[in-house]
Amino acid sequence: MSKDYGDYQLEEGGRGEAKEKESVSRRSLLSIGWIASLVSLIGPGLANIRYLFPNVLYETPTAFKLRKPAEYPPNSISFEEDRRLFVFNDRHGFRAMSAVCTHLRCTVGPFGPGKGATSRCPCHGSLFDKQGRVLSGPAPRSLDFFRLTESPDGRLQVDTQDIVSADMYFKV
Amino acid sequence: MDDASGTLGKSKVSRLVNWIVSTRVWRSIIRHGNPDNDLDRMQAVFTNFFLHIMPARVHVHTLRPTATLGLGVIALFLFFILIITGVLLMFYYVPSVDRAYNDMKDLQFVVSYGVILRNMHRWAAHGMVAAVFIHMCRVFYTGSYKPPREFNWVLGVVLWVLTMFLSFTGYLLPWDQLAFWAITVGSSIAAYPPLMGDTIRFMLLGGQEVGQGALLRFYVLHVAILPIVISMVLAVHLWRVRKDGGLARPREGAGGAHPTSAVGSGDWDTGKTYGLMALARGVTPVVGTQAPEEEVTAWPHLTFRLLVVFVATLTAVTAVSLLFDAPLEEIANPTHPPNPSKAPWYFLGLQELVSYSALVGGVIVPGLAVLGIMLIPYIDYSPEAEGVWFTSDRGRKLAWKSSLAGAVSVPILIILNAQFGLRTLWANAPQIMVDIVNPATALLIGMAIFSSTVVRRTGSRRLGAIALFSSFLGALIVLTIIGTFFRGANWVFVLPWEQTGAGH
Amino acid sequence: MNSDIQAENHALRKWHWAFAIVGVVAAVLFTLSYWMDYDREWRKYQRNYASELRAILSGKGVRELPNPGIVYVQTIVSPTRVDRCQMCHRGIDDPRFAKSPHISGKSRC
Ligand code: HEM
Ligand code: FES
Repeated sequence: MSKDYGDYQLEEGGRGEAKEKESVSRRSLLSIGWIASLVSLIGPGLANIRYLFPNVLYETPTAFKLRKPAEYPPNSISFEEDRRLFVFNDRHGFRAMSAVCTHLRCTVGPFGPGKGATSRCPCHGSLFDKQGRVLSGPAPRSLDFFRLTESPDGRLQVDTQDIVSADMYFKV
Repeated sequence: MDDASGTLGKSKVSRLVNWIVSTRVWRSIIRHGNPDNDLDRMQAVFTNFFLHIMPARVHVHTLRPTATLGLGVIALFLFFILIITGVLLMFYYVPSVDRAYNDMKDLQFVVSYGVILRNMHRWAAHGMVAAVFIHMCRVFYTGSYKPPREFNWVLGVVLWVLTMFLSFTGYLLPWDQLAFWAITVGSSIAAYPPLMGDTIRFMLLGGQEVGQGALLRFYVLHVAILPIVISMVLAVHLWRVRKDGGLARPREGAGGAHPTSAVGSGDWDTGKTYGLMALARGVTPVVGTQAPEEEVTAWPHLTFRLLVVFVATLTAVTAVSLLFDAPLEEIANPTHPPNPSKAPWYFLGLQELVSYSALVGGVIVPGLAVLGIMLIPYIDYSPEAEGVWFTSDRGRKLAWKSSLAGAVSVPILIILNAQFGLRTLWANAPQIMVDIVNPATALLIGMAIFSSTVVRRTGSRRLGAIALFSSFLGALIVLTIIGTFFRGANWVFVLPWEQTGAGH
Repeated sequence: MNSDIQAENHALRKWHWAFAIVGVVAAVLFTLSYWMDYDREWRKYQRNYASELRAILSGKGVRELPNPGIVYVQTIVSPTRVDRCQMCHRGIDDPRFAKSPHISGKSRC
């Protein structure tokens, strides 16, 4: 007693008599309170995590127009800097290849002239050929090719969400 | 059968729990045992970083809801809620005149849970301004500012001003009409102090008008500088509550020694220590008068109450946020002020005074009010009945009478001013005359005469302080009500139901 | 034992009750807040749009009726401005909806 004066344990100590008076036990009040309070604290916590995932984005749309086909010289590789992609125009037709390195998303370098030209990523040195295949370096997979279509006003149109195989050509 | 497996399950769980709490890792984090005895309960408070601001044992008087009305902790919890919701809002808000308003709209309409967070932030901010002010009133009326707590009162006044400034800077951020014009009006008051005025306003706005510069400045003040400063002052405020010997409370028994008289006087030299640091001889002024029998362990008596008050505060803020959306009007338009343009409600009392004389109403009265309030504990340091509401029956009656007097004198002065105001009698009176003869000055002088008369008649500085504070309070409340509900377009007197403008 | 402390122990019991009640109210309010945040007005309009679209298509021998999901529809005007008319007025630019009671009348935005 000398140590535990003022101890609310006393209430529990006197439980036997107290219990008959108490319609709801201390234990159940506390557990209701704790469960409900945790719901109302963890709940908003989870809702706040949901809040961090925006429903709308202010990014450039994934579908966009390029130039007119005639503006790409025959047998050329054009680099569309803003869109980070290459447009190949060869005897089979047009293709659009991503210039985003599959390693860590740097923009890969330009292709040199000539048949066996390659593109090197400046960040960690991955080397790609004109089919997008990885020749060396840390890149885990080939560069993507996107579907090309023609827009109503006669320009090439790309959707970067629409990935196609490397031998899919668009013919004018 | 069921029973058997039940107990088996239970014993397995409790064996697991026992094992976890006995591991080296657990014991390195939680240093005390299960708080089922007084020693461990005190250890729990003493060794826990988040709880150590509390004493290990508290006096039962401090725990009574009527002692504090829990207002300080409510203000504190609102501050926590504001920090959490505010940091989340920062993830979407860009303080640019081109984007701010759209970001608000996005939070309102397309960000999941955005509108509720915005509402909670807005209403908790208003709640904090109110809670801090009422906390100040409770500290005043319970006489809890008396020695040794004088300086903590001063820190409190600083916190009050910072809180209003924090709320005011946040008011601009939505960049809607309400925000833009409230800040235009509010920051114009800053231009009135003689000599310095224009410089202060220019520095605050980062330009001649409310624009991109002002938005960025207010943003930095609102999300970084003011919260950090408040947190630091708050830390000292709470630390001082502890060091001043816990909350003020009535002294036990009639004619007990004044608390401070025990300091270093050695008359508590029994060499007895109990609990942990509940008592450390001679370090805090009030130690000597603490009667151990009147104390209980802070865990759970205090900690549990704090938990309940926290959940209750959160509940109240959520409820208000579900019922009312934070206002968002048209995008700010610097060429078209809404009529009337009103400052936030807690400044409307000021705006009312400013409408008579900007210098007196906007600078001198608030300046003197803040200074006067800060000085209260240095003027009234009588050791009279601290921790007792209104000190005595006489004090209670005086408080009511003076706040009524303050409240009534405001409309009377306003009517007198409308009928016999200086400008109505002498249309082109010089500005200096207007600054001297107007309701704001009259109010100030009236209060000064009234309270000094009370001191002379009763010989009690405490009663004088009650007279001054209460008449100030009564006048402030009525001024705020008039500014909020009875002022319409062109600041003309209207009845509340004829109001057209919006304001919050 | 001190009577103040006994009173305090009784008071604590009231706080236990307060804890249970306030906790339950808080939990209910949170659930409500989440629901109110989810169930926005535009969802109703998009549900109407979906059912009308199905009605329009069902007579036309279309075998598999499309299930237009409920989505945020936005048109990007500039990097900082978007136009979200179609969140509520989906199908506003679709001639098949010209006579729709849900579109006509309140289509200006
Ligand atoms: C940011 C705003 C503030 C916060 C968060 C805050 C917080 C607190 C807390 C938690 C306490 C413990 C007692 C209680 O809950 O009532 C307290 C006590 C105190 N506060 Fe404040 N406070 C604030 C502003 C103020 C103001 C504006 C004043 C007065 C001008 C003030 C003066 C005091 C004093 C003198 C005490 C000790 C009271 C006593 O011993 O009974 N505080 N404050
Ligand atoms: S990002 Fe291209 S190689 Fe690493």
